[in-house]
Amino acid sequence: MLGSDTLRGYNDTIILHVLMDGDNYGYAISARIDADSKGVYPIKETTLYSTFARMEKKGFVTSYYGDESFGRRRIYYSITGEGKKYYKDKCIEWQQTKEVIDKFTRKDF
Amino acid sequence: METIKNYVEALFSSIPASEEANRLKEDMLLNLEEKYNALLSTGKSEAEAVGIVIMGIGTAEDLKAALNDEKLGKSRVKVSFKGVNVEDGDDKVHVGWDGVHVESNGDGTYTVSENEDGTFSYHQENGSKFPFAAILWPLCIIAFLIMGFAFHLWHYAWLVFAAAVIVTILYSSVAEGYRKKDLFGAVEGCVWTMVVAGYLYVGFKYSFWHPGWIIFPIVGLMDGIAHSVYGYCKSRTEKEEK
Repeated sequence: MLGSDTLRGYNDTIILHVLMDGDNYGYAISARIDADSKGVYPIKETTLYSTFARMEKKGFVTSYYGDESFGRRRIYYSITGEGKKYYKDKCIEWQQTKEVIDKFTRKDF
Repeated sequence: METIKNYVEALFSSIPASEEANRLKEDMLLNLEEKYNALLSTGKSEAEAVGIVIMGIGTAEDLKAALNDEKLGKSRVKVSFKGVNVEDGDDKVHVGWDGVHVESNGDGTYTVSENEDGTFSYHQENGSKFPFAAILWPLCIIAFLIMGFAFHLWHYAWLVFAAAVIVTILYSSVAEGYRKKDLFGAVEGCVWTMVVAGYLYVGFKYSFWHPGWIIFPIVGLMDGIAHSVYGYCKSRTEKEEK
C-alpha cells in the first residue's frame, strides 16, 4: 500500500482524473480511486477533502450541492477549463518524472 | 456511526472554525456514512466497519494546511517611520514608538508592556476607549463663550480651562493606574492633581503664591518616601507568596 507521502503532489492529478469522466462527490471519488488502484492507494478522507479545498481555491474545480431528493445533500465537484489544463500539464510532468526515476531504480530485486 | 461522528468532531476541533471548515465537515460526515453503509452491505460487522472508516480518515494536518492556505497568503510585513507592522491572516502585530500592539483572531487589541523585571505582560483592551478629551475640550470652549458673552465673566471664565487641565491629568492618571492595575500610580496621580489644584486655589484666592510653593518639595519628598515604602512592602508580600 502506498502512503500519501509517496504520492504527495499527485493527489490533485488523481482526483482530476476521476472528474475528467464527469462531476462526482466525495465517497464515489474515493471509491473510484480505491478500485482503480486495486486497493494499493486508499486515499485518506482528510487528504481528499484538503485537496478539494486547495483545488477550489486555485480554480481547478467548482463545487455545488447535489439535488438528492432525500436526506442531506452532498457536495459535487466539477473540473474547470483551468483544471483540465493543469491535469494535462501534470500528465506530461509525470511522464518525465517516471523516465528519470526509472533510470535510477532497479527492477531486478 | 456515533463513534465516527465523534471522531470527525474531535478531528475538526483542532481546526479554526470557519464556514468552509464546517461545510467540509458536514460533507465528510455524509460521505463517511455512505462508506460505512457500503461496508455493512458487504457483510462487515458494525465494529469492523467503524474501524475501517476511522482508519481511512487520516490526520488533521492536511486539512489545517489546506484551509489556512488563503489566510497565509495574506501575510505581509511593513516597515515605516511609524514602526513595524506584521499581518498574518487575522493576526496583527504592531511595534512602534507608542508601544507594542497585538491583535489576534479579531478578539480585541492587546497592549504589551515590559515589566520591571524584564518580562513582558499584556492586557486586553475591551471595546473602545472613552473619548474623554474629544468631549471635554469642546465643552470647555462652549462654557467659556457662554460665561463671557452671557454673563461678562471673561475674567473668571479662563478658569474653566485650568479646571479642564486638572481634570484631564486626574482622569488620565487614574485611568492609566487602573489599566496597569497599579493602585499606587493612580493614588499618586490623584494626590499630585489635588496639590496643583490646591496651590492654584490658595494662590488666586489668598495670593499665597510665595510660601505656598513649598508644598511641591514637601509632597515630592513624601511621594519619594511612600514610593520606597510601597515598593518594599510589595516585594515582601511577593516573597511571602512564593
